[in-house]
Amino acid sequence: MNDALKMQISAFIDGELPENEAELLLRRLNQDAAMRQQVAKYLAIGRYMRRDPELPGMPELRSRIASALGEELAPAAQVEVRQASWFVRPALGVALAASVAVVALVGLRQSILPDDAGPGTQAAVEFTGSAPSITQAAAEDVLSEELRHMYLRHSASSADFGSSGMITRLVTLELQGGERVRIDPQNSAAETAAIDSMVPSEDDDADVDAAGERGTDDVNRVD
Amino acid sequence: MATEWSDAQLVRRVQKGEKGAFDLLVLKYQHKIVNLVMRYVRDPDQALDITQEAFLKAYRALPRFRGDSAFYTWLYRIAVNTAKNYLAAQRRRPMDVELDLQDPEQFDLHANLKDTDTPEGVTLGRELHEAVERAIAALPDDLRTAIVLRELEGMSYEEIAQTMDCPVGTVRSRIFRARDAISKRIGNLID
Repeated sequence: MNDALKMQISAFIDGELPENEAELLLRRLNQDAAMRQQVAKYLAIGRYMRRDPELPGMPELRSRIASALGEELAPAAQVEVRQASWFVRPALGVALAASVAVVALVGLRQSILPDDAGPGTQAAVEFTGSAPSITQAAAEDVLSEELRHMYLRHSASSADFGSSGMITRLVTLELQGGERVRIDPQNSAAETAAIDSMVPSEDDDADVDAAGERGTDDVNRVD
Repeated sequence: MATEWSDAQLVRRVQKGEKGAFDLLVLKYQHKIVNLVMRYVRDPDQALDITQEAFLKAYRALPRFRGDSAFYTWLYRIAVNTAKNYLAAQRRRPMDVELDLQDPEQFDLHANLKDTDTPEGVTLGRELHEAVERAIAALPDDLRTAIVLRELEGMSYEEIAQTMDCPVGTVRSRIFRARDAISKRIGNLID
């Protein structure tokens, strides 16, 4: 809030603002809780100067009345939330859609893994927590290198938006309904390693056992 | 021409559905109404509850408010009735003398509130008053004179301008700068 506006508020509470300015200011005050908070502050200074008495609990009265009328008065926080939501909401939507797609494909992948698919596959099984059914070759046909990169890109973008892949994990839990699996949100590197072990890549010479071990640590089964 | 922080203006806006205007009416009158209610109940929590209820009743009734009386007189009557109804519900008698409804400003506001001060409230109040006094003492002379004439003497900007021998616009600026400086110094106590 700039000084010119604050000076208008100061004159307004003294009843010294010209009529045309007061009308415009009132319009803005009606819309802007932070500006009304400035009014409250200037009024309070006058009361403190005059040593007017004040009950404990008095500072909350206004908020209580506003809440009862169905309007929250949390000026700064509310404004910030509103300002943030215009880009956060679409970003979360995109992240959610991408998560659903990835999880669906991962689910498909693990549903076609063989029982004896080896250590890397074991890590994947532990990660997704359900039983494989068909051959490794078929799985590799379905899950391409492109899918792996898509997952990694998604994880990176989720982190950029501050979600740290949380939505992916929530959706994973939702889709695995039969067996609840909790995945700690801070373990994205280990999770990536588990995905690496599932989908071979050209430079994939990672220690599969180690990845599998990390994958096991990352997945906490919840009864 | 300057306009009063007009109740009628605010009431019209509330009647058009602008809740922010009602918030301004609450800001303007909440202390007066609490002090009034404290004439009926000594318990601060009860006084706050009754005050809240009075404002809610006023808000709901505002669409029917025609402006035949001043808004504050109308609000004052709602508050008194709410307090009396509360006491009737509690089967207690009002502790104080009959009030003169024509002169709501006549109360000794300090008397009741001092009885109800909590140690925390007293400490915070003292801190605030001391902080404000320090802030005022630190102001340049012209700002300090302007804010004192306004807040303590209740002078209009025109009267302050004559007293300080400066234009009204300068008075406006000085009072704002004084408030801004005080606000910055005590901000952590009143935010």
